[in-house]
Amino acid sequence: VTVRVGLGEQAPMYRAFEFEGQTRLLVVPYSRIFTVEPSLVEALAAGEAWARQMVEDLSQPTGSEQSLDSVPLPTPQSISLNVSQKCNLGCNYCYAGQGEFAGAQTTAMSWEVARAAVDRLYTLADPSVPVTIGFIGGEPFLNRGLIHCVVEYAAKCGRERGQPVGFSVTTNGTTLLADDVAMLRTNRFAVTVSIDGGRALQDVQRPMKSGGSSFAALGKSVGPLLESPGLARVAARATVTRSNLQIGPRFDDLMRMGFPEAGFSPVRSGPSGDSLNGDDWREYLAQMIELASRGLGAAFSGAPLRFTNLAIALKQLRRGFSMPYPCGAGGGYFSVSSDGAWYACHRAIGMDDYVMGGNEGLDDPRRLDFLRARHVHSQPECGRCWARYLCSGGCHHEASSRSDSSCGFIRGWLEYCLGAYCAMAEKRPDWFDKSA
Amino acid sequence: MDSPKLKFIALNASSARINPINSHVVGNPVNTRLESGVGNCFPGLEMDLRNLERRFFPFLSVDFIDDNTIAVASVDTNAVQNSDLPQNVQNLYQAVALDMNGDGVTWTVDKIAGSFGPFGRREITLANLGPANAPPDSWTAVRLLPEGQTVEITLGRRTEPRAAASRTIKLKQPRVAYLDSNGVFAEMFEPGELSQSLCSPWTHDFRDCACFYWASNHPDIVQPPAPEGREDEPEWQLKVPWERADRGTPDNPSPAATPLDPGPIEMDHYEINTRWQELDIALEGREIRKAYRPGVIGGRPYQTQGELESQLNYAAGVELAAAQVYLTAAYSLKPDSSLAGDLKNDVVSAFAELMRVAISEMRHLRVVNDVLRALNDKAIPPTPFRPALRVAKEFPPLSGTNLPVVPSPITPDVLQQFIEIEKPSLSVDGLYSRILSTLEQLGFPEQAAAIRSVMAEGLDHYQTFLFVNEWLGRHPKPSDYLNPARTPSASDRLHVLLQTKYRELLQTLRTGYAAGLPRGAEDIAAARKMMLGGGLEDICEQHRSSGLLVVFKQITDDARFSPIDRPKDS
Repeated sequence: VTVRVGLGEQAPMYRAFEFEGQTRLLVVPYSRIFTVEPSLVEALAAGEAWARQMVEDLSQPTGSEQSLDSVPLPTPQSISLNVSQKCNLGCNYCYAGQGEFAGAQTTAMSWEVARAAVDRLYTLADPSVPVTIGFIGGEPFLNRGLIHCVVEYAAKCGRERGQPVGFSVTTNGTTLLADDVAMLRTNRFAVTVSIDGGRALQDVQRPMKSGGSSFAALGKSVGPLLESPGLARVAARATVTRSNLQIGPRFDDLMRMGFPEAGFSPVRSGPSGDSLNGDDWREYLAQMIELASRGLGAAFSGAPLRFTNLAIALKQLRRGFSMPYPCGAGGGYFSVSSDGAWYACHRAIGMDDYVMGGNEGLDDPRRLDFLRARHVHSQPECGRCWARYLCSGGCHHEASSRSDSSCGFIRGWLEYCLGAYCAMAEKRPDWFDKSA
Repeated sequence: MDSPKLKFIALNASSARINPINSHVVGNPVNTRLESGVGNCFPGLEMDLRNLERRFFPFLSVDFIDDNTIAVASVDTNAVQNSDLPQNVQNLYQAVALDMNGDGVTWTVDKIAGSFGPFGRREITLANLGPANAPPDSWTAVRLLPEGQTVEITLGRRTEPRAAASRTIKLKQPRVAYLDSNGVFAEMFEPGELSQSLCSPWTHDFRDCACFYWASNHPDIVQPPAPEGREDEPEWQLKVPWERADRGTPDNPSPAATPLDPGPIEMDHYEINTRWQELDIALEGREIRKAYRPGVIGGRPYQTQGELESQLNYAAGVELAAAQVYLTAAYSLKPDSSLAGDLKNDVVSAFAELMRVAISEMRHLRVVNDVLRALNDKAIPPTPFRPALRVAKEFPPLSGTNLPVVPSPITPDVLQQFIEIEKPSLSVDGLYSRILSTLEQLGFPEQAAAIRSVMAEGLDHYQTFLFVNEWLGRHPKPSDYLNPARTPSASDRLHVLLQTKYRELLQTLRTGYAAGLPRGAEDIAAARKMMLGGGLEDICEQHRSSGLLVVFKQITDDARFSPIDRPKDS
């Protein structure tokens, strides 16, 4: 039985915008982008029936496109393992309480739990599609022995089944040893290094509990990987707090350190007073656009796009990204806690309503309920927003922090990206092929 | 108000998947189809290939006078002056340029030293070309020189043909490339230079080139101009060569063509260059010497739109039935792997043409459905469109004789029936002429145009079947070309598989038609795919190799696809 969540009648179905003197139209469902004649947009504004019908026709799924009303229950293809409950840094804004999740996770993951989780993933996954196993925490490399075991074991299972496996890890990058780097180089690893900027900012926002400089430790530990990444794809991810919204200089700092790309995530919720609110969002948008415009200008002359947020947005617009969910939580993705429970999201360890099962199996009716409640059509304010299938309501865990100003930021950013996309499609169409 | 035709430019992958323009386009005009281009059948006719070699040597253009003579036509002295050539080489070019203007002076390329492909690296003397182990003529020699490689030419000066050269000049340069890195002809060619020698041969070519590929207003064989109102009389139904020297008069048409050798009665090569203006424009197969008036389509309009719709439903069924029986016929021919020689050529051609006509009937099915949809949409109030996919039980009758739809191997009798079915103004054509006049009367010009093109293609089918008849008719024993095949029984695995796949095809097609464009495009494409490659095409081929006739069974348990009767004519 297909579960469906309908869309309210007042939902905007299109968004018209001007770019370089031409009228463009974003058809909201399936994110179809066209250059059109101004008369169409005028007719839409005037509510002419034929124009409305035209947009209605363009809003229908075609080919392999899935209905945006349906609540899918995909096979799990990806898990993250909370291998460590500890961290050597003490960042104020940490959603995980340095890995203990406010007492919900007090022990490190054991090999038995990790292996059972990997076995379960392979049992549940579609064998014709690759699986991904991520490592998270706390600082995952504080339990490095387990990571090495899991990578070896999962790779062996993959070889035996003829199913490709990829890995990912989010690390603070301060504790990598030579054999960790060797493992990252020889496996298909997506390595996200959490680093907030240059030395001064990093050491303030991400202090080491021992009192040393996390910036120095990180440079020493990650440097060899940046120099020679092998099969690993390394990117920096910086957290932005309301006390410092300047992102341009930090981006430059990160590039100087040798990161091939870097992206930014603002703090939206959490225990500290770091969350952005009100006018912060307007300032943050201006910062994002300034940095993106700089990258775009360089890209027009042939340079690579190294600002992750922009690169991802452009690729998504190219494909016509259009999803009722912001992530795979509870669908294709689960996060396994150290006690073997399968949570819909790694940020929700310890929250009962996010538990979807465990190493012994998944509770599909529970998943369906979870997904139905979080479908973008179920979010009343999203039903009135043209960006609903691009933003998809944003992180479930942060949904309660959604506000007019934070949503205004999302719309402003996407509006900018739509124009940037048109420019890139015209001036650097080759970029999309290269980065496909 | 109707939706106006608007510009839509798709900018990303999901917009490209659903092009709204599709919903406004009824069909492409015939002249956009691949098979309409002369150059498509005879590549190279866009230009005279030999003109490329006029510029084989830097800064010179030459004329290929005959097999042994290449004359210098011009020297690009400006380009020489602006080049990096050493001054002494520039002087040589300038000397030839200046001297060429003298009375009776010619400069010719007497020798070429270079690499001549299979003939190897050597110096050739153009006056001595011809013997074995050397390029046969001057143009071929130049053609063989690889681009970019060094060539040395010896130019000779003469005031008397065939005299010894009074002066010689040697020039050494890389052989010119004709295409630039974008694949575009280099700018050195003057506008018109590449096609210049085609102008005269354009008329000339009618004399010697292969037949039947000229534009339709320049056919090889036509009917002569006829006096007003007497076109149908037998003496004006004669076929005459379009290029006949004796143009006759309207009262006295010139002799009939002898298709095997019309040569003696045609204008000769030179004559056609001086008398080309006497060649008539031909329209609808007949030469015309007065203002053209389109003929009146004689079909009597149907009396109501309801009647028109039921006839269209039947017409769709006729197209489906025709596609089925033509497929049965095509796959009743022996596979070409079992044949050889002329028989093989004839059978391969017959199979290809039968398939082409069958596919054309499938396209007509779509046209008829589009017309029906338009009628439903424009009705007041709009009526729901139901795709017409029921197979006709019989073809439109021929002079009162009923023509039931019976899948059969392509015996001479069956082929004769195909010819009759497609014959102009009869059977199927008769049905469409009434549909056409009704559409014109009801004010559906676009749909009328679509039906006109269906009728025009019917004429093509008729002519095609005449050819098939000629090819297969050369082999008096039908068993030479007919595959020994039996009619399948209900339990034959392949036969059952064919019915299953065929029904799936109909269902997919129905979904696509029902959704209309652009929504249905995906299904229509899917239906098309189901027929090709590993789909129905493959199953039909397996029938052939297993000695089974391809038979599409009547569907009786599904009203959407069940056979349809011929409606009573009003």
